[in-house]
Amino acid sequence: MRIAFIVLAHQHPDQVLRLVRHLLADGDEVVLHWDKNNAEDIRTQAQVSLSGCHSAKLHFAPRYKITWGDWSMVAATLACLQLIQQQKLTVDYVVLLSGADYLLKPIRVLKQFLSAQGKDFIECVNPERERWVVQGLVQDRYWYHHWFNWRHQRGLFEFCLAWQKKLGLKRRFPRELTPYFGSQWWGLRGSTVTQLLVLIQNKRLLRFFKTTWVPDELFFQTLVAFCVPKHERVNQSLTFYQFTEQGNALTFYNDHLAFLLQQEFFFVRKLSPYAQQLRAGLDNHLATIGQAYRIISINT
Amino acid sequence: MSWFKLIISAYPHWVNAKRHAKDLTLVLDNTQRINTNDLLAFMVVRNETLRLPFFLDYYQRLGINHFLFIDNDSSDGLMDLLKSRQDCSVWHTKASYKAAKYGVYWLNELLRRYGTGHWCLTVDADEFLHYPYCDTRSLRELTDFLTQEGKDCFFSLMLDMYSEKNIDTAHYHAGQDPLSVCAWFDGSGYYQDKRPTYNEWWIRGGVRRRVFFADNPELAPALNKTVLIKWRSYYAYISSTHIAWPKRLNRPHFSDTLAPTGCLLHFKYLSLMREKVEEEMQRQEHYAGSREYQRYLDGLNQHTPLWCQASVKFSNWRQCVDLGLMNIGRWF
Repeated sequence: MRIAFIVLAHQHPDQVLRLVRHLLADGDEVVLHWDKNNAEDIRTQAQVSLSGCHSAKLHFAPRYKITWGDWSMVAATLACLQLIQQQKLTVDYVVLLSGADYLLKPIRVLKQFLSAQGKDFIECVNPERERWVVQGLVQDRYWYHHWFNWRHQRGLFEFCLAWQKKLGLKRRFPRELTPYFGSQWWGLRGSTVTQLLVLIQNKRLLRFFKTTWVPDELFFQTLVAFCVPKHERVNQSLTFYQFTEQGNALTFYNDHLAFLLQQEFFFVRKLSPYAQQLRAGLDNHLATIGQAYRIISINT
Repeated sequence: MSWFKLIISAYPHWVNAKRHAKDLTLVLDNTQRINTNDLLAFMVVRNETLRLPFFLDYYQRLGINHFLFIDNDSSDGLMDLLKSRQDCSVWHTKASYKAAKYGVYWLNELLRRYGTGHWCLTVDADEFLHYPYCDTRSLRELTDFLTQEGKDCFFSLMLDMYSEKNIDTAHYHAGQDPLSVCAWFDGSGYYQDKRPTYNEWWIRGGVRRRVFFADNPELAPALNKTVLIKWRSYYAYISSTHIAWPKRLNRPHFSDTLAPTGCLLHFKYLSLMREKVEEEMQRQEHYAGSREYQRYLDGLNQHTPLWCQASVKFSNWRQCVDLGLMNIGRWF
């Protein structure tokens, strides 16, 4: 089995490369998107620190300036998917990760799990039936256009939303599609990715999602739910994550090693960039499991 | 607050800071080494070189990137210690500490000039900050969390530390961890009032109130300190680091939930104290006619014991949380 990992990263190149080294270790492909807002040159750093045998499998995606909450996040992810297609990388799975993530289990264990399951791992929650968004806008995220960023341009954001509501400019969700929310981080089969890349040829569809709010928690979820039958997807992410009340991802520190080792996920989002001891502890754990796994596979 | 009101009320702080900053001369300049996002420490020192080796180590380990000293005419070789360090800058002054409102005007000017946009720690050389998880998480991780929570200040309670022995026999050597000399503090006996003008939580108590102000507890010094602030150009300290302005900086918590808070371990009651107190009584450069120092001198002369049955030996930050002196807030 071959996996392509997409890593969206925007700071702390040394921590990102530490993650990338683990992802490359079993001969898989890694597509790295390095945020254009960060002027640091990660390519050269990668050449220096990954001068091992697998560095040819690290690909650099065209860079976008990513702003949290808007379309740029999806645009960067799509650029990575298109790169996988252009480079004709034949992969069984594509897994989306962030640069602040880390592994909880070795890649070999993940592969064994994925080949046994053979499904897509993506959280898809219908906002009309269940509550997924902790706080803030729910359906307004896609009923109205959002041209401004709520974090940096709160006044304009709220002004536009209020006037669209007053004027009754509610949009219709694209026909055939049902909106689904879910965590940004997913693991999809190669065949599902191919279907997605066909779907996004539809320019009208893209235009609709471009002005939704936080499309990275809506776009892929909606499209995958549309083209993959329910029994072929698992409503869960491969990544362990937790949100705070303010909607920020919980950060894990040096003292969280024991807690994280209890989690039955393959990745964790997100580690503090300064938590070196935690990373070393996880490395240790990965090595131990990897060793045990090798012994089992030799014996069987 | 409207812009107009903000400017009107910020103006006096700004003028005072500007006026008194003229007394400062930059004698060790490493300020060009300060990077965006660096954590900065600001302090006024006078003859405290003995304490600095451990102090610098301690805060460097927590993650302070640059130290900005205001040297109020030290004569104990401060520059010999600092001159080779690239993470320190020093301003020298012979001017009156009292006239600069006990150093606050000097600090305000440096904070405005160098601290704007940075998380700034303002402490004395005998104060050591302990915060939730400080044994496993850096100060930067704390400030990142506070920023994420939307808080730009960090409240701490000052704990006066003392030895089980007499003050005169609590000797401290350069480079030593002061906790190995003064490991005890009052685990209870802190009380708070809220004062209307600056909305600060006015906390008094501890050994100071118990021993030195037992006859008149109303005069006991404040123990509330907002030592860590993400500085903006118009911010100011009003009275030491006890009170900051605008007054929302003095709020320890959010309106609906608790924020993390810290404890500031304060090592005043060492044998060094006698010399200091005698000098300060001569200079009359401290708050309220140095009455605090008069009481210390009396206490020293009468060999008043500080330790009592209710004293608690310091072990770590978790103990402070258990005693209700520190808060974790929502920090997981």
